[in-house]
Amino acid sequence: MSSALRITSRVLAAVVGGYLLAAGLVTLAAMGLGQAMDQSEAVVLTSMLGFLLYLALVLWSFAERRLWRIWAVMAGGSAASLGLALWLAPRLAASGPGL
Amino acid sequence: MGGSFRESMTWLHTWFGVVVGALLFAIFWMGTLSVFDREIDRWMIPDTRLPAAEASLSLDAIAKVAAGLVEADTHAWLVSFPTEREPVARLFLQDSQEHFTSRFLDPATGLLLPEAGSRAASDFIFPFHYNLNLEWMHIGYWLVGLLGMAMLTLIVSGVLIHRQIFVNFFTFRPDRKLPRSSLDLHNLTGVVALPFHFVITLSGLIIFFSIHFPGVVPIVYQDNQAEFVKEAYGVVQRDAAGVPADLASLDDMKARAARLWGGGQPYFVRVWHPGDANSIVEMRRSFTDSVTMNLDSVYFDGPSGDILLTHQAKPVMSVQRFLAGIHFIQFEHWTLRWLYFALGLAGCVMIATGFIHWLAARRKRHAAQGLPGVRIVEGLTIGAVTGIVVATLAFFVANRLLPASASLLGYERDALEVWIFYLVWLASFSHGWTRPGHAWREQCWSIAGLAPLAVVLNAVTTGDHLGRTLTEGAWAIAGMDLMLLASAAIAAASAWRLQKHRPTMTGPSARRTLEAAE
Repeated sequence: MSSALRITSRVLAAVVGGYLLAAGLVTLAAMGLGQAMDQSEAVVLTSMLGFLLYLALVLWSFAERRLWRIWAVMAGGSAASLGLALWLAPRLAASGPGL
Repeated sequence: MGGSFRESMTWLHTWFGVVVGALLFAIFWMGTLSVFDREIDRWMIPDTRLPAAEASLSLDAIAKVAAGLVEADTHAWLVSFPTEREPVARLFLQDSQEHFTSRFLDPATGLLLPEAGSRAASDFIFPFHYNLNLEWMHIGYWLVGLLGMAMLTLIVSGVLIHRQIFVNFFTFRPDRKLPRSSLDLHNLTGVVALPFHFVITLSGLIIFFSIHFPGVVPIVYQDNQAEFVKEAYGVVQRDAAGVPADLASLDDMKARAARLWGGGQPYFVRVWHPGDANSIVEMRRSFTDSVTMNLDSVYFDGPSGDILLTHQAKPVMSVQRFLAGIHFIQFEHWTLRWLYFALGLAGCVMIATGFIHWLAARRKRHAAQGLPGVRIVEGLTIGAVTGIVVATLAFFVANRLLPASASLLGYERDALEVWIFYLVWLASFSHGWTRPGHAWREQCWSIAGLAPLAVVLNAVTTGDHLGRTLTEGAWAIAGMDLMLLASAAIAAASAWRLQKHRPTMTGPSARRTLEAAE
């Protein structure tokens, strides 16, 4: 892979992949915390922390040498977290007292 | 990246900085000006330069004025009350598409002031800061959000690549040659204002958490998203009945809200579905006396005046409102306001010197290898740094020159001012690219000329010259004029220095020097 392509790939993984993973984890954590506290409060709390998580993921993407590892974490992590969130949400909404 | 941790952070800092720096400077510049948005409003809309109102005005009287403006399409009207910084009330009309139009109101007489004719700071400079005035599909919010994340990345990577943070705090060697002195100043402004820059950027992102993480509420709440709005913000909504009805006394409702808030006053009142049997009156509590922008609100049934809902933010939401308050600085505190202004300018200097260091460190090499990078980035820097200042000043000058009835090609006066801003800004970039050796100096001279011109035009068109504003204590106007004069002095001094150091500063002549040396 040429160096320009490698850099583009890394920036994409950091900016887009990092965002999707952060958003996925924010959603999942909001649902989890929503079982223990007011659901709207959990959404606000995890969303605020989401910016710091995204920041950490972007920085890590540039510190990690192996490009495949970044993509594996970002793509795998966001697919898993968003998938789990989408699968869980209707089940929690149907049963949860918080909603 | 390939090398060590420090090398990869340096790479990140260098390239994120060059790519986003121009827009980041614009956001910092507009944000810095927004610290004094109400004062700039007074300067740009002279009809609103009223003495502080003594008597508190009757809400029911305002309701009568509003009723005269309500049209068939009016979804709601709302009024914001005068504050220490804004001596006028403002009446907004909200149509069914949620578009707002507004008129200023003299709080002493309840009379409408003439059309503002300018978007001034509240409606142009401030929105530019948070969405670049690109409202379509929230694209401006997303761009600014990405830039905010890039800024956080730059701050952290900037700290990580440092060997001597503490030493940088005290180091500035302006007498050294360019790459060194610009880096000193970049480090100095970066380190001194570091906590401010981090907090202001993070809080700016947190304000719009629901825009930046738009999927969370729809996924978590599924078909019940209105529930989130109700829980978090305590909103009451209902459809219009289609049956006309009178409004109960708003002054009564205001007094009841004040009792509920232990004496707190509303800063705005909104009437939904005015004139309808299902009208709702929404009152929001003022937060000029605290950092936290509380969400305290009371909703009344319009015709009966019965309380439908009272709301207070829950603890986590209060933290969010506190962080928003740190960013918005809507509380009354002049010392802090000036500190925000100074730290905002420090951010501008940090971004500009980052660019200048990038350029100075590469100028010789790019010239020798015939690379276009320096020339492209130099034009970008000039337009981004001095260009936006020139454009802002052109916006102020146009504001004082355009007649009240000005219109061109279907654009009203307020739109023409904005067009002038963008055209001048665009021109400053092409100036930067076409005259690389001279544009810095020439744009500094333009600033030195335009700023005093704005001061003179203000005096001529309104009669509020510094002699009067300073003796009468019209601090908003006097402060604006004095800041304009200060900018002119700084710009003239910079232009003068650039004139003296011309041979070593310019791109093409640096190349000539290098060629001569070979």
